Amino acid sequence: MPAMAQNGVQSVGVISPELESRMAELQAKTQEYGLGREQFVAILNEIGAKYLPPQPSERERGEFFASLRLEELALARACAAGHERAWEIFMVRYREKLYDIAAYIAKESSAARELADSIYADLYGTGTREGKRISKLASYTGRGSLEGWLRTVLAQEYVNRYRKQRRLVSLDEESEAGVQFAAAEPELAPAAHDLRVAAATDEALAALPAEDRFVLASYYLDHRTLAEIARTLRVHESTISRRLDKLAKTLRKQILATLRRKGMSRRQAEEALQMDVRDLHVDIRTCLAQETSAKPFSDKKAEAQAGEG
Amino acid sequence: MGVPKIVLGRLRRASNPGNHPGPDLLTAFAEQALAKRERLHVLEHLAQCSECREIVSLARPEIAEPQTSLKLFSLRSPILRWSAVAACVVGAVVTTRHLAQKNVETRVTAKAPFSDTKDASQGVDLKTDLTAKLQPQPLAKQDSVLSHGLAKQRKEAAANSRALAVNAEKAGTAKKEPLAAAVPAAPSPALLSKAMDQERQKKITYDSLGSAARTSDEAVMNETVATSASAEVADARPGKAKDAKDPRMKAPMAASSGIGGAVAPVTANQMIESRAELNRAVDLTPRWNLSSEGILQRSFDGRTWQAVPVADNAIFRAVSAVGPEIWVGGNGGSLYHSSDSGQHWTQVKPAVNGSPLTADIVGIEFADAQHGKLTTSNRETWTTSDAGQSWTREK
Repeated sequence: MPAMAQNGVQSVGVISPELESRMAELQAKTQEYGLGREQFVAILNEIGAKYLPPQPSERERGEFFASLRLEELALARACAAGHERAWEIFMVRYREKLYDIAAYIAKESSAARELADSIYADLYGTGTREGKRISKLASYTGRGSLEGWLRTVLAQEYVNRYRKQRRLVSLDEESEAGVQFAAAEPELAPAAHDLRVAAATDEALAALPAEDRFVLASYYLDHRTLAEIARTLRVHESTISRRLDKLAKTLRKQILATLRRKGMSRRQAEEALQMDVRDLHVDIRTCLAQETSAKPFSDKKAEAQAGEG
Repeated sequence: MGVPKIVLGRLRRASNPGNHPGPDLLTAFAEQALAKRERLHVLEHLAQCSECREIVSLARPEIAEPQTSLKLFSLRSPILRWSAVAACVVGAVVTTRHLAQKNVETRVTAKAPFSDTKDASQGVDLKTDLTAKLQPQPLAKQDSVLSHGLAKQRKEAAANSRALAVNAEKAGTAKKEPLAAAVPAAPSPALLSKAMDQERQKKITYDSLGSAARTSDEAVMNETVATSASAEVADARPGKAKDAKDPRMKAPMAASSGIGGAVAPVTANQMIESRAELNRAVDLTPRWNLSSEGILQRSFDGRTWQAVPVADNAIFRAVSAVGPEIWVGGNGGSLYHSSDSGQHWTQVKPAVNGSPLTADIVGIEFADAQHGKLTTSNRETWTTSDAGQSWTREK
């Protein structure tokens, strides 16, 4: 094997005979897809450079490359490179699935077909840059299954379309939906202790693990069911139920404790916690900023470019 | 206990989550393929970003993930739980009935010589045999199976039958015929139960009197009593008369009326429903599917899917099921066959003229257990007409 750069496959191959054997197994396939070994090794290097930490340990490198879906990666990259044979295989394996997934996401046949067709065009790469066809498949890195990746890409596209369409909703439609004339939120002057409650709440939330905050947000903000959250985290429904109960108790306890540390009596702290959030000063601008400040999927194009490169 | 409203307000007012993770990371997160460090990073983002949570939720596969145990057998559903209880009751009743029927059959064969008074000595011998057969062992066994309440009810039924015998004697033989006509042809447990009680009485009579001729008369009388008692039981349930005509209803009806009041809470309709539930559960045919990772899955209810282990490191692309005959194929021409609904698997290596199938199997179609067709990624079609023993290849 030729010498490769820092995070390269060669070094991985040295410590991971398993990957080496997988590469050997794949050789026939990559050749069938029209992808040379050198080309594939370069792709793996690029993926390693993107996802591995700056100074990865040998174990990290080994685990990382072992977790990649090499066969699907080879197929996707061969498709992105425009190899006809790879496209034939891709079509056999994924075309029907693509439409099925779109139907599941869009829930309506014409919208589903439109969604799947648009993604299919993106996957094939209808646009060109510097004379090279840009295929969305070039951004697939084999971190998850290709089918799962297609699901996510379709879901992203669906969400983007929904957001675009929402901006184009007419005022009449908004009036009908009761949006335009919705009652204004009362703007009350924040009481001194409100800030203390907000700070205590922020402190308690920040102390929670990310997964707990994800569960809270999914359940209370997104109104996902216990089963949906459980499926996302691959745990049992009852685990989520118990965790939510525990979180509610823990948060309340911690906020009360913080408020008491800040000089409130127990009764004052409990009253402050019972207060309706609408009575508090909430910075709507900041709330909305979460939705719009970051460009949705801003790194998509960058990834596509990286994939092309 | 809910979360205080301020918590929701502050949760919504999360800080700017920054760059969104790409579809690669979100997919790997959903498939649990991320390292701990990356998973925490993605979770941190998801906790703050409703848009990405939405995408992860939309991209979640339609099929439920396979669970370690099938719900079908976990008896979580109250219907299934009660069905199981009903099945146990039905089982106990059927067993008891079977035992009782066996005893009566023995007695019926022994009855004819007893009615014949010509050979008294033979009658005495048979009486001894019958007495031995009617020793309390089988009854004691039943009593141990059935509850004390059941035994009490049986005693009451015996007392009723004695009273009915007196009435029957008074009414004369003319009344016997219509009553007998009302009795179903098959011996009902009510009849059997009462016959057993009568046999007990018979035993006492044998012991005290020892007269073969008298025993014969007693036997005839007992038969009449049992018949009229059975008719009485049928008449005592006017509301169930229609049900009683249904042959399917005979057993449960008789079970609830004859053998025990202890089964009274389970009505005949409930029993039929429970039986239908059980039949449905038994008749469930598994459905087969492949996960996105190429793992074979089976479901009995279409909601929960169980991974079926076939072979290590095999990634399957196609599956075909015709009754218990399951064929599954995938990468590198790997093909497996099960003829017992996935209990046991055999690897099949299709080859033509010594040239094995090495391409990915992307389609399997079996019309029946013998005739099938494989489609491969290199556009070949392999067909068999002898359940995979020999193959032909077409380009």
